[in-house]
Amino acid sequence: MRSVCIAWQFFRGSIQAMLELQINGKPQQVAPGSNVANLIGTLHLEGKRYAIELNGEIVPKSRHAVTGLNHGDKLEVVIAVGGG
Amino acid sequence: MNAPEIIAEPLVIAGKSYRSRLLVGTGKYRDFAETRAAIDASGSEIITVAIRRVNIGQNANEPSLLEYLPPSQFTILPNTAGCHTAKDAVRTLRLARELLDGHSLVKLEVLANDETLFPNMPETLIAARELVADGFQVMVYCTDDPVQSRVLEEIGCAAIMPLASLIGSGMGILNPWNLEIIIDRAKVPVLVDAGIGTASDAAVAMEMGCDAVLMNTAIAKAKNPVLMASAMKKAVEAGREAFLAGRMPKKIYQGSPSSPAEGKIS
Repeated sequence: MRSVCIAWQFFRGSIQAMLELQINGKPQQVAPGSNVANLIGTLHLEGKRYAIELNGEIVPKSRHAVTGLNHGDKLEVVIAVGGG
Repeated sequence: MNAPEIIAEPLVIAGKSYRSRLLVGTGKYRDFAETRAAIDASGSEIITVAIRRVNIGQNANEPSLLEYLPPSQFTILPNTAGCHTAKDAVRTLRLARELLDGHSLVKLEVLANDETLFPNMPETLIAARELVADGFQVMVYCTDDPVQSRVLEEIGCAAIMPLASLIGSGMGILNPWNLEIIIDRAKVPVLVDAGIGTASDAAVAMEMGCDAVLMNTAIAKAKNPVLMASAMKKAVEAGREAFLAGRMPKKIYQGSPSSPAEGKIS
């Protein structure tokens, strides 16, 4: 019984550890300990031109790799598109 | 001054010189290849782009606009299309500056409503002040109102861009008299932005003394966008030369023969 209990707590812990973010208004999960650069990789944006806003503040490119993500963060990821 | 020297006289915006006096948008084309072909035919050096959320989950190999129109080849002019408040416009252009590695020349447009896309001037003025204070060089879409234009110039905008008629309407220059006052008074470049329908509209704007013309739909929604882009290039050049040449005075009530009155056989 005790081992089941420990397993359950471990399971719950691992679920809670996934970071729940909002990216461009949609919910998205990333691995715990992720930073902005990791997120760019999962969005297939490496080598492209984009800009990132984290909770209303722009994160400069130079800080992507050192800016960690936290539960509940709201991100905007934008690119240039055709327009007049 | 001979003609080639006149053509070579550059357009100067925020201290940078450009050979072309035609600025074009990149929206409403069939695909990126057509966008690029039309822009090449237009000879434009400054091209506008919009800033939008990336499509999460998009194909990793999907091409992007700036791969077809690299900032190394063009001056990219990010716009605030779709913004209805100063706050949204400033936020959009700060993201654009980050996206373009600190590039500070921008097109500010704050719209009043989605029906007419008419400029919201109170919000435009607020945004212009904030952007200029933050180091942006602001080319500003505005009403064809000489007083508002003067205020935008005093704020420190790099160029004043009154509408000829509503965005995407193709109705041409509806208020040439207001436009003439703005051109006459402004000390920064004046560009007609929005409302150009066909080549003659662009030529008229340039003949009036506009420094340049900005358009998108007139080219992108022509039956043959690449051919129209070429026509616009010629119209802008022809209009500029006609302005510099100085047109003959209009004689409303009397004809004046071009051939000699003397020596007629009867």
